[in-house]
Amino acid sequence: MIKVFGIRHHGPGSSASLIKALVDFAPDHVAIEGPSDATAMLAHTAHEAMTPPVALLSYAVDDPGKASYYPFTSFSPEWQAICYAHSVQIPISFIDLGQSHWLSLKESADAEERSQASPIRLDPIGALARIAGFDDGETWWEEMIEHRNNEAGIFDEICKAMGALREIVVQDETEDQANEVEDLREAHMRQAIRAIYKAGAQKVAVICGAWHAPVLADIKFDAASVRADQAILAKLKSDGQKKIKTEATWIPWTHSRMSTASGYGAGIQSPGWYQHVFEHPQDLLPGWFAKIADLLRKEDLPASSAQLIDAIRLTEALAGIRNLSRPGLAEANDATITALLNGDSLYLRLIKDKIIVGEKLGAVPDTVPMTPLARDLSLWQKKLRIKPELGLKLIELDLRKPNDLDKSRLFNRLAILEIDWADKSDAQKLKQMQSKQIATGKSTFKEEWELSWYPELSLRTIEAGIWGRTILEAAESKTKSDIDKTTSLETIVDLIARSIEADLPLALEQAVQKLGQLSATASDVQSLLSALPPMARIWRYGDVRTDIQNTAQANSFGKLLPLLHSLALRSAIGLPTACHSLDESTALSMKKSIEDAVIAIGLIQDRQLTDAFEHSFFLIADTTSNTISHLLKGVAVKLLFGNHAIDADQVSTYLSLALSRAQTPLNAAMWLEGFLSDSALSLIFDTRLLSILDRWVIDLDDMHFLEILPLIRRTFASFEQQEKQQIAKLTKTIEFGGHEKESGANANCQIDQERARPALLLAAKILGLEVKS
Amino acid sequence: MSTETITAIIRQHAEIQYKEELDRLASIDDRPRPSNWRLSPWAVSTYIMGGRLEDGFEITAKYIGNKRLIEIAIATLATDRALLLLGVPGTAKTWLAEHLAAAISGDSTLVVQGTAGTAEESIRYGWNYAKLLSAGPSPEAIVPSPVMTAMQTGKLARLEEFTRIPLDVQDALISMLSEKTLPVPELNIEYQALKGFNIIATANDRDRGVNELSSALKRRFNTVVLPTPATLEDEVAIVSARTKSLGAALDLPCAPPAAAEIERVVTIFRELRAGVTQDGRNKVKSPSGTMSTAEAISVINNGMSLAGHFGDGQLRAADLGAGLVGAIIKDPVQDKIVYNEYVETVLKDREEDGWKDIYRTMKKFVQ
Repeated sequence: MIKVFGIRHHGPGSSASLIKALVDFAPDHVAIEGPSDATAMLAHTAHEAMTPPVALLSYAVDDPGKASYYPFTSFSPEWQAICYAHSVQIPISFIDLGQSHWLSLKESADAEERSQASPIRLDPIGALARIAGFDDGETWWEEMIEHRNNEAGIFDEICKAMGALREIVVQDETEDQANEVEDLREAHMRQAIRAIYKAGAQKVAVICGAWHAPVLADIKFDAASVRADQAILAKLKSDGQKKIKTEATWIPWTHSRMSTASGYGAGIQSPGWYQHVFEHPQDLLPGWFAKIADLLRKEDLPASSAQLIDAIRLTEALAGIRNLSRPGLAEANDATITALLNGDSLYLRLIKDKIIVGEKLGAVPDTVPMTPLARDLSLWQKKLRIKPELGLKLIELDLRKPNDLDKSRLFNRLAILEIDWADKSDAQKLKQMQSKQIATGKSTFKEEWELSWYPELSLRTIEAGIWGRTILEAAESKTKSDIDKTTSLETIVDLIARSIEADLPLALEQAVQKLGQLSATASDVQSLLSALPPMARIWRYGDVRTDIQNTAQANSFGKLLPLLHSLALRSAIGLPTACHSLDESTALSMKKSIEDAVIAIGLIQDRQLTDAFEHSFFLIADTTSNTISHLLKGVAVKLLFGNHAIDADQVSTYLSLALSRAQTPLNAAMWLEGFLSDSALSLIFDTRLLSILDRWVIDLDDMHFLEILPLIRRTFASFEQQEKQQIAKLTKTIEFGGHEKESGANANCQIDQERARPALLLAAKILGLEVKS
Repeated sequence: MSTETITAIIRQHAEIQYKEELDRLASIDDRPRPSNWRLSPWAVSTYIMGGRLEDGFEITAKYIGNKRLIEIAIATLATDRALLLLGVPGTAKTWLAEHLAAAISGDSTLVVQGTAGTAEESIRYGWNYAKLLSAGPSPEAIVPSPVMTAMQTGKLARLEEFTRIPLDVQDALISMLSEKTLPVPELNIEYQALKGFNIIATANDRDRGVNELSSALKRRFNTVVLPTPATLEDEVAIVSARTKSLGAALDLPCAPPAAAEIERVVTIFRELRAGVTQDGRNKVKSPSGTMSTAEAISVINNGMSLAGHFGDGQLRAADLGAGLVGAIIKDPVQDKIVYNEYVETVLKDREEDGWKDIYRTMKKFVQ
């Protein structure tokens, strides 16, 4: 005896009716529309730690990226059927096409075409509902239940209705891919049911999407029908589609992912509401509005009990007006807006996310098959006591504590494997970006991470399994492969930093070696220079994380300093030549690299390096060369002055030479930019320099002045407000030619008395004064 | 009343103008009615949204828009909660309130018009001072407000422009709404409301000088926000229906305007209101006024009047110019810029003849 229950996928109404019907029917085998090669997975559902929403994940062993998900919620009829079967201890099986076929079909068929499976096939009950004038299938199902006495009889009626629907739809559609796949699936399901009978079952309950119900209820056991089905299935093999080897497992799923359609049905938009309806058939509205009130109060919005009562009464009144026997989500939403939100539908969005969708993450027990990497991850999660959770969670780590240090290592390793469960918080990223550029960035023991789990991470964990069996192993081999591939100094230094953060000693060793190789052959001075600040930083602060007992680490660290030293020396030597014949933008970027490198060298405090750089700065500042960028000449003089390698007298010599008349104003302005950028103090503390500058500006004619004005302005714009004010004050006191103005009025006043006399007499006459001659 | 007197009235109350529809609905209505309601909620909904009865009788649509909002409004009144209709000016709040009162209570005359000078007497009761002085305090000396009359007879009271009423006067309603009694402390008596009493308040949230409801008062209302018409078709239907009925009421000697003309005017209004052209490609500046549907209706009526009395009886683009200018330019400085920009950048490029006529007319008014 066979009974087919055509349900609405993930519909609470179907679930409730199904449970009652199954208890009535008392089958000895339950068959469910699901991938037949995953039947073995059903055993795990009996485990008490398995909490919906969960999904059955099938992936191709050779290419984990090809995967499909089959989700279950606690109110899905399929899930309830499984629970029933476990409770009375009867066998369950999946009877649909196996995943290996499903995935290969997905590949061969055009993905576009298949997803165009008409909405009627995906949600036939919804289609019937719309024909009857209802908004959604659930409301219609409730109405059907209310108006009959025999609830179990509904499944027979659905079957008949589906039969009629199928006739109409098939008439309208032309042959297409979707049709073929459907025939395959139905033939497969029929064969599977026959096999169940052959194995000795007497009463089989078949739970499938309502669309397939008529076809399966019509199953015949005579030889002709069997042959017909076998012929259809033979197509699977004859089409030359290779069977893809697949593996299956259970992964936690979320309510929000339920909105996407899968091969088994249309998605649902309001899982939270459905769950509530399923769990509270009796006091539906009070519980629902109580949840909403809770949320509104957390957001500091008024939601008094009186408003809830009014909202409930309004919902029921609306249901009455619309001739519904039970209020649905639409009525509840209307009442929420009107009675609780004062007509403003803005907050409904918040309610939608938190309650109507009711975001929730399921859980799977440890006994489900897991790849070694996934198992390692779950072990670490238990050890460190961090559970995967939905929503953003901020964690602060203190790297001095061993537990926190382990967490930091885990997160960094996962980041390398592109499993971005943990992401550096924005504040942390900003700090890191700043300190990457300048070696004096402060280093602290504090780290901030943002954790947010989403279901696709389970698949990424499986994909990352190609790199190794444990997280450490996988991270090491991935980093090593990155190290092998790269040829850029900057990337290598970045990889060194990451290996230290993630504590990967083998990768670190390899990276340091590669760094040595690359630096021996690298000739681009600018890239050498830009590698210095991060390396200096790593050398100076890197051992915040390392376990000094670990000798391999200590070795690699030890090799860093000599490498750093040689890199610095080579860049210093090559610097003067690299400053020849640069255009403006290259000169600017070189300027930045030089300035950052000098700060880095300061961090290392090695006399030899400082001397080498000073020597090359002298060469750059050499005024006889015309091809060296003037900007960089100014920079060199500034840096030498800053290091006290030259005194103020020498600086003023350089300055006057740079600003002398023979020099084109443009070049002079560039020199000034290099010299003055970020260092207004030299102008303030030595008035000689200020007066030389002053004289030069005064001597410029109009055209030249206009020419250099933007450049000088740009330089001065980088000064602080107070510095500018001080310079302005000082310029008042210096005089033309560099002498301090004396306070007396007449000291340098040389007036020719004879020639001035007539003018004085005339002035006196105008003013009406008597002048004694 | 003689026929002369009846037709001399500009605008009939809804319950008189649509008496036939209401009577028909009452006769076939066998669904349960709340106490003292003339019609059941279903019948009220049919009356307002329009429909066809079983015997073929057509009920005209009074409100063209989302049916669910009307259902919420009726459900609110059926559950003894006060109804607050919010929306920008010109979205048929008063119109809807009037028809709800006419359908439910058969009487839409119990109205309190809210202004900044509204005093408590308008909401509670006043005194007949002559009687008070001559015979002393007694129930006969009380002059009931429309709200009190509604309470005593179990009908709907309407409060228009509720947010213009000063706050202390607004709050006089609070206890009336919760306990449904009106105490008269001077006489030591109270009046209790009969079943069927309820209040419909309308408010627009856009004006200056608005007194926001206190939260205690807000809680006692169910709020329904009436939107501007969602689609062009809806708005054109509203405008056509209203201009036809207004034209008949005012005896305008003008043929009903062509649908295309109405559509053009409505398109102009929608584009300026939304700040973007109908095809969604170009942004337009919005004027300071609200560009409501009611204004579109009056622009067309104005045009019809001009055409009828000063033209050839056929509404053309030239008749609409003055009305459009008046509707768009409310602020003489800013809106002039908006008007000029709109005419020159959007209207100029439209190809059809009708649009060209409108462009020429509106350009004439460009200052």
